[in-house]
Amino acid sequence: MNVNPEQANGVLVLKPEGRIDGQNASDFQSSVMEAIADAQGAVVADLGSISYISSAGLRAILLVAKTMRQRNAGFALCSLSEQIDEVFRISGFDKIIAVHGTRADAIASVAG
Amino acid sequence: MSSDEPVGQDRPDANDSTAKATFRLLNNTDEMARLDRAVDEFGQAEQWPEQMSYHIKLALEEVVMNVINYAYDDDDDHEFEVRVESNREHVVIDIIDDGQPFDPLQEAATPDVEASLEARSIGGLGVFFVKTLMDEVEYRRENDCNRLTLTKRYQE
Repeated sequence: MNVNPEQANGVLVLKPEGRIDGQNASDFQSSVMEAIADAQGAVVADLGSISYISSAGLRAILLVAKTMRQRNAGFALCSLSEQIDEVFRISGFDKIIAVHGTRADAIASVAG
Repeated sequence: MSSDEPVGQDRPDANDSTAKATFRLLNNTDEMARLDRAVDEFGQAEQWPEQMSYHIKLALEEVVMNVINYAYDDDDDHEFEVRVESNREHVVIDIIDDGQPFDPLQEAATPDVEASLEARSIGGLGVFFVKTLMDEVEYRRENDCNRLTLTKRYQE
């Protein structure tokens, strides 16, 4: 899966597109892990172009969040659709992963 | 799905009628996308509200992916069935497979949604979504099959 990496204010921003479901969650996870492998600093994942996410996708995001925590580097999400925001709240993920309304807010929250 | 067309699909011709569709799937992850599209079309014809449709498709994926990935312990092809019924009051979905006995309501891990990031384990979310997003979930073992019945009612 293309996660469209780009740099903004020293933060690596990823913008995956489409669905993250039981069929492609492992592909999503390995694409993100590859993109962040060489990142020195914080990472923001912009989910504004994600239309659907299942538990398999949430597991992948949790593993990325744990990896960033182990590195002691910032990690935040932004631009969740109403449905994805609901799934995050049900899972309790909103309490363990920083979620922001806009990309600018997410970048500002993690930028050194 | 093994057949090209959904079996036994009816469109409602009166307000109180129930639309039904049966989908037969193989235990192959490629089948999930086809089922999702077919259920999406069915839901559009039935005018499911957007959020209700999202909840149904998410719960269905969680159950069906579990069947595809875990119900059969050999490498053979197996067919299982998804039945959908929709009327003005509710949507009822049955997922019926002849795999190993498995009651997800009893046997799936319960996620600790209050755990810290470091302590949070990755399991159990799928069944938790099903329980949370559906109004009723019932499991039965009958005729050597697992039968999970999901009911989603229209919001008041």
